[in-house]
Parts: sequence; C-alpha cells; structure tokens
Amino acid sequence: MLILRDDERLTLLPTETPELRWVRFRTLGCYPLTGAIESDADTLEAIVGEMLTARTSERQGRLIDRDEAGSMEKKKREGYF
Amino acid sequence: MPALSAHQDQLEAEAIHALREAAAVFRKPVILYSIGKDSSVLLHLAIKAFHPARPPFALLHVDTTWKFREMIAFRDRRMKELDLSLIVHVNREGLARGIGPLSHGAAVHTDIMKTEALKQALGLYGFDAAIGGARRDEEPSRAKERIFSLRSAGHRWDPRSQRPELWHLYNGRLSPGESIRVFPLSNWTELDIWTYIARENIPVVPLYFAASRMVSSATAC
Repeated sequence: MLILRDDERLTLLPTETPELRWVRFRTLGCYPLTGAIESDADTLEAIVGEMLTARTSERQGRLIDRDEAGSMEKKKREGYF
Repeated sequence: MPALSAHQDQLEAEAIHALREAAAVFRKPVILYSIGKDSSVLLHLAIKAFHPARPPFALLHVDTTWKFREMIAFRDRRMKELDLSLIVHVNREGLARGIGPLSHGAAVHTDIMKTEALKQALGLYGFDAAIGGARRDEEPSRAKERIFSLRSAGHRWDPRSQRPELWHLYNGRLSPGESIRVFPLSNWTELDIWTYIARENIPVVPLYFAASRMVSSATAC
C-alpha cells in the first residue's frame, strides 16, 4: 500500500524509503490507513475515464475493511457507518 | 450524453427524495460530513433539495485527529464558503488515552475514534437520524443496506431486522432509543459520483487528483 506520510507522527521503518510518484486517492480517511493508487488522472475527465476501466472497489485502499474476515459487517453491527 | 444525463437525474431525484423524507420524518436529523467526495455530493444535494432555504439538517464531522491536513483545510474553507456551521466531534476520552492507528492498530483506533466517537456525538446532541454518503458498490456488507437503515438502542445494526422499502416508501418510525441511518447515495457507483461532480461542478479535496507526491510502500500498522 502506498502511504503518504502527512505528518511527523508516522515514523518510517529503515526499509521504507519515500519516493516521488504520481498518485491519487480514490477514498480519503485517516492518512496512515488510506492507500494511494498510482494514477495520472489529474482532471475530472481523466478520473471518470479511470473509473470506466476500474475493476476493484475504492475501499481496496482502506486498511480497516480487511483487518479480519467480515470486518465491515462487524463494524457496522457495532455502529460504524 | 443524454442517456447518462437521464441516469444522473434519476439518481439525483432518488437522493433528494430520501433527504426530504428524512427532513419530514425525523425530529433531529444530522448529516455526517466526512469531507470526502461522497460527503461533498451529499451536501450539494441537501442544499439543492431545500434551496433557497437552508438545509434543515445539522452537520457533523467526527474527527479522528488523523485526517490528511488537506482534508481539514478543505473542510474549513468549504464551511466558510457555504456559510454553514459544522459540529466537529472528537472522542476526548480516546484522545486523552492516546489512541491512534500507529500505537493501537487500525481496529482499535477505528472503533474508539470513529465508531465510539460517532455514537457519543449522536447521543450528546440527541440526533435521531444520521445521514451518510455510504454507497452499495463500496463493500459487500454495505451492498445489503437499506436506504433507511434501522439501528437499535446502542446504535446496533441487525441486517435481519431491516424494513422493506417497496416503491421507495421509507419507514422512519422509531421506538424509544432507536435511530435511523439514511443513505441517499445507496444506488450511486463511484463512477456516478465522479460524473455528477463534473456535471454539477462540486469542489472536492485536491488529494483526489493525481500529482507527484512523496509516498512509501508500507505495510502500515
């Protein structure tokens, strides 16, 4: 997962070296839990074009949805949206 | 593209209908504004549904304190532009305990700083309906949601005790302690959201657009 380190609270492991890449976010949440995707869609038209060929859900970039089996259902039962 | 436009009109009408129903039926409804593209569309629709009056909903952001800084800047700018007041709720108790995604893991952080925080805010202000921008195409358990989703006392969701919604007739009757989550964008896809954002010229957080950014491949947490 491509993580954007938005502030000092997130420390990188010695093996993790940040690099400049063309990325965007399909979904936005807490920054350490939200992965960027590689993309060059920098306009609305390009994003719409990207959507037409997308074969995965935007939630693929959300770590919390997949931390265990049936994760979202469990969270929803507990009151998550 | 007239066909696409008719599809957008139909989704818009369906969402506006759900929003107006929520305004008519509930005592104290609130829009859950999470700053993302779906929230931006939802807010736009709420404004459109009641124009020229102001939307008859409170606005709530549950802040985990770990959002992208660009999101917070966008949120504050938009509220000023739209002249709307926003309730920002942070789980102070969780904050005091130092709960965060890095120290406690994604699951604990989400539970305490998002789910618990949301329940606190709903209780604190006495909201009986919370309107959110979740969509069915996002995730399997969201796919089986109703548009008016019943929550028991304690905000618990039981997929098996949901009400039928034939002919877009929504049942908002509540027993004491119960509440409803309203999902006007249920039938929208991610593509619909973007097509509508383009059509209506709705501002969104710049992070949605590709740019050269410093990222690292991480197995976070």
